[in-house]
Amino acid sequence: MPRVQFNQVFFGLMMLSLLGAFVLPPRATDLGRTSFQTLLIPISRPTYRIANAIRSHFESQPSEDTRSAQTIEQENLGLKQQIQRMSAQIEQLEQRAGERASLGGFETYCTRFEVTAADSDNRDGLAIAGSGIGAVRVDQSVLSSGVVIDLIGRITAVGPLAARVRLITDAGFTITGHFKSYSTAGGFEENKDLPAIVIGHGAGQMLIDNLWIKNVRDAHVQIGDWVVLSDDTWPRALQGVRIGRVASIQPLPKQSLFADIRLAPEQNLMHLNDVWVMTHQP
Amino acid sequence: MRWLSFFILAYIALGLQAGLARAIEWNGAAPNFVLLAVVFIALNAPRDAALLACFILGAMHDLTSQGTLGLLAFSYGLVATFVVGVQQAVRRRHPVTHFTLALLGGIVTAIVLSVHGWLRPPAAGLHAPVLPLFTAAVYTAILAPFALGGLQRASGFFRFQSGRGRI
Repeated sequence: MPRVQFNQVFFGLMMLSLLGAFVLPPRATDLGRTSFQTLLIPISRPTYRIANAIRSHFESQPSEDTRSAQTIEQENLGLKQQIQRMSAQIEQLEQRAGERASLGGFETYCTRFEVTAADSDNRDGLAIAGSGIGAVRVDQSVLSSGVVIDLIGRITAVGPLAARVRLITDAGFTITGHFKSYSTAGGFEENKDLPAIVIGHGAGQMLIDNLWIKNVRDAHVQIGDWVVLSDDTWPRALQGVRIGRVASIQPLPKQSLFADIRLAPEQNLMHLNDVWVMTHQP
Repeated sequence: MRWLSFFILAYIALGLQAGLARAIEWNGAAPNFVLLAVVFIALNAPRDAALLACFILGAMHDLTSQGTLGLLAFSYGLVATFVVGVQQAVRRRHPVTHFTLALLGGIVTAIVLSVHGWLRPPAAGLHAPVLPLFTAAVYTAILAPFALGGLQRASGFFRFQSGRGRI
């Protein structure tokens, strides 16, 4: 190809990409709903599994909880008591109405999928695959697997072999919730009067900046408290599911009357091996 | 340049980026294997082929991520333009060359992504942290001598031609 002609073509391509990135409206160029990452599964799946296996073998999960061991023990004791009370309540309800499905067993409504890749740029997302992917639909809720189930994101794209999850920590992901704190005197307390707008901040963090710092202090919100889902746009069965734990509370730098509350999920969401997708509605 | 070899390299780099990069991140910064492929191609291929190949790599990286179409294509196009410009003035097999070019390429990419995040935030008033982007540039540069050193040994597979301007 002649040099002048190639230069023009390359300049045109660069201008097109510049327009796409900086000028065209985001809805025209947002790739969140494509599933081309499916094509990379033959390489991404084994490398993701191997790297995670090696890391988990050599690296213990760092504890983000800075509270004293005594406080954590007390909280665990409170949790055990609460579980016992709830178990009794669940048994009663099961006997009365037989509504087992509405008592929280997420497995009833969920399908487990394997994580095959993490997002390849600076966004927070996962690619998942597995049998039953045909039942996955856009906007379905995604939960972490393990002993404790947390809300971790939403399906944004579905392909024939894989689906893409946008994590709650991805920049701009918005969700509402309220605080749940624990004290030795009062046990677990829910602050439903303090509705928080949780926004993904990227790099594994979430941010709450819609609350007056005075209200936050009056409600005794402190580091280590949980934020749980309280959002009508999400399934009713998920209301009250944990979103993250308060990692820091400071005045907002430019508006000191508001609080800058940082949340972190219980585990690094970019390193999960399996997730639950809520493929059925209760 | 043999385009089949290029596409195999692109596929492996994108697969590693999707599967490995975030699993070995450090403080939120992940290495950029695709950028290493960009530097390798831009350092060895004839000018026109290098520019086109790097732009294609960026477009493919855009398509396999959750980002904005054109953002990485533009970034890698800029990096390729720079690396192609200095290609004759550097020692292509020297580790310092690999480190320096990967670092500069990472910084260029980080600046473009930072400006994009600043001009078009994901939500009103929300600016994602930019420090991990620059940390990732350093991380990528540290890996560059090993990755590019290995690729240089396999450069015969790509049949890079010395003639300028040939695609």
